[in-house]
Amino acid sequence: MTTADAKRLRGADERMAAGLVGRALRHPSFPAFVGMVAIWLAIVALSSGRGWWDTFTAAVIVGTILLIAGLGQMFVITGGNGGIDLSVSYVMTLCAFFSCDVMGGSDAQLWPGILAGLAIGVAAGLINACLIELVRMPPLVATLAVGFTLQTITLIYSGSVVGVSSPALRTFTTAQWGPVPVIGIFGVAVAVLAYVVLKRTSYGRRIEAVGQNAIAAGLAGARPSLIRASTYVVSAGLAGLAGVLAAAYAGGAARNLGDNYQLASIAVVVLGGSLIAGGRGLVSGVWAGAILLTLLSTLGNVTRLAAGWQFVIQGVLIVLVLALTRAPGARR
Amino acid sequence: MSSLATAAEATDGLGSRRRIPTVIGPWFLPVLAAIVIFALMVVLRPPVGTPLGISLTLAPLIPLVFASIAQMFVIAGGDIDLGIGSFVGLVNVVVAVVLPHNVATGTLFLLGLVLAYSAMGALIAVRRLPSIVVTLGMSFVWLGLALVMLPTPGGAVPGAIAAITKFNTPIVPGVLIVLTVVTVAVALFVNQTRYGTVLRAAGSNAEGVSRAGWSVIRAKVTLYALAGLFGVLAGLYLSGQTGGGDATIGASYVLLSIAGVVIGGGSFSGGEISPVGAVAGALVVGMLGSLLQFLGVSSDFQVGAQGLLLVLVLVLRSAAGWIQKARRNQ
Repeated sequence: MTTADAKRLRGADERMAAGLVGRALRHPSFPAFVGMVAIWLAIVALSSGRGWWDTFTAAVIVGTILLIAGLGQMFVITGGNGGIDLSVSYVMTLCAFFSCDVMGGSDAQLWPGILAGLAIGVAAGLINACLIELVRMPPLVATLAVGFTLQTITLIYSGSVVGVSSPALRTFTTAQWGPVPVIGIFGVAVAVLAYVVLKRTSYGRRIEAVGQNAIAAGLAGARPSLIRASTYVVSAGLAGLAGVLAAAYAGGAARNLGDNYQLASIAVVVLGGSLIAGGRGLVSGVWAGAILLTLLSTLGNVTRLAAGWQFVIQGVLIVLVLALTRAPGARR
Repeated sequence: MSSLATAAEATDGLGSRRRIPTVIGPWFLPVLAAIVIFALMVVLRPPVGTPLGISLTLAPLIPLVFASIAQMFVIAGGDIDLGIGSFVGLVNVVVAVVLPHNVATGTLFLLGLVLAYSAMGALIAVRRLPSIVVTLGMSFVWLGLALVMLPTPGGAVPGAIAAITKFNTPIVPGVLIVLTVVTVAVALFVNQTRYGTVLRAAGSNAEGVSRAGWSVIRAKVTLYALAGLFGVLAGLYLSGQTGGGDATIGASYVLLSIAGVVIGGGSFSGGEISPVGAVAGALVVGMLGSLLQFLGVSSDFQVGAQGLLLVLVLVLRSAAGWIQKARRNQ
């Protein structure tokens, strides 16, 4: 090897390193990370009493629940064709009640409880999928109507339930491994799994392909309506899991448990740089978006901002991000 | 509509089978359903049939009718409005909190809200944003503003507004007059005027509209402005009836107004709307709630039942589409 060769190789290494940084900077989820860090720093600056790491881990714990619900929403939105799941919040609440009912506050019933919550979620997802892909209802209407029906079921069913989550699951949601919250690691693991499924399996590649151009994807051998239908099942299943975790974190289920997640699950997808028209899902963006949104509400609490203003900021933020980043193209 | 009917008549025997639905129009079934439900209510509770009974039954549904007309304008443009419920709530709060102290500020505020709605339409049209997410985001802005002004239910609606909503005549119930005037006015505007046609076409055939020299963006802005106007009317009427302010009062209007338009024959692909149908659809959805109450069904079931009705109508319509397709293929 000559010195010239070595120099060239080193140059290539440097270029590659520079390329990686450049790619990270240009990545569509980058603004979400910047926003996340900015809000984090603002909280640390404003609240003298709290440590910078505690602020972050607290956000990670609550944000992981939003992350899981948001990942499901991302799959639906990425499938395109106006895909959106407005039943997330209602699925979460019903699954929370059902799992708590099965667990009944005992660790022996931990797994049956989790599975029961997941099963209800998957069932709701199947109904959504049938209404949208068989009956050809617009996703918005189908998921909203199913959501309201689930809400009615919850309302009637929850009257007779005094369910308490399993103590082991409750510990899981708040436990720490050294300085790191366990549920945060779980959330990252779920996100990595979602990333692998979306970007490294043929199923995931088909979701994005169908979202970009359903006709082309169909000609290439994917079955658009089956692929899209499956995303609703994934979404409702993940919403079920999120509901189970939210109930465990709070110690039990409540009728308003899912309320905030209807907009928030969509918001984290939009904030994270995924395309709202479908075709491009960004798992890292959903993660950053979920932490960002949770930190934002922490910031609201730290500054003692009225709940009303927090709603206004959340709404404006979503519309603004959408207006600034969206590439003109498909509708709805 | 009429040109379609003559076109169907001009064709051979096949036309005779298709002519009936074309002549009757999409408003026929919802109107029939509204009459049937009303008749059922009269059978269950005869006093409902008296002028006073009609007033008491229909008056609470007027805000929903206005909200459905608002939703209809947005759906006409091929969009969907998930913010109408919070918007009605915000109007209610403005009427109960701002208007009593300063009439001028309150009126300007309400006008500003209509402008804000058209600005939202402009943003959606110009940047081609998905209406679902924008209106859902804005619904939090409306709700947030309302909560800032009135964190817990309260305030007092000026007596003048309450008086207007209680408008009545000795012979004909005032509710019927309001319903008829509004429905006829909107139907004439949408179906008979030139700009009404442009507005409907903006949702179904934007390309055609711009080729004909009209601005699609301006049409969309007009549609959202009209939606905002009817949202304000819904809020005013609701305020007059409740007498107080509550930021979350309109929450159920999102699903119910969509259900009203869809049951009234509206289609999500845009352009296909029927004002008479939307009004009848809203009455069907609203009266279904009252009917369930009469039957002793717990109010817990109401929202679910109304949601299921919406699903049922769409399933039936889709089934009708399949049958038609199968027949054509024969």
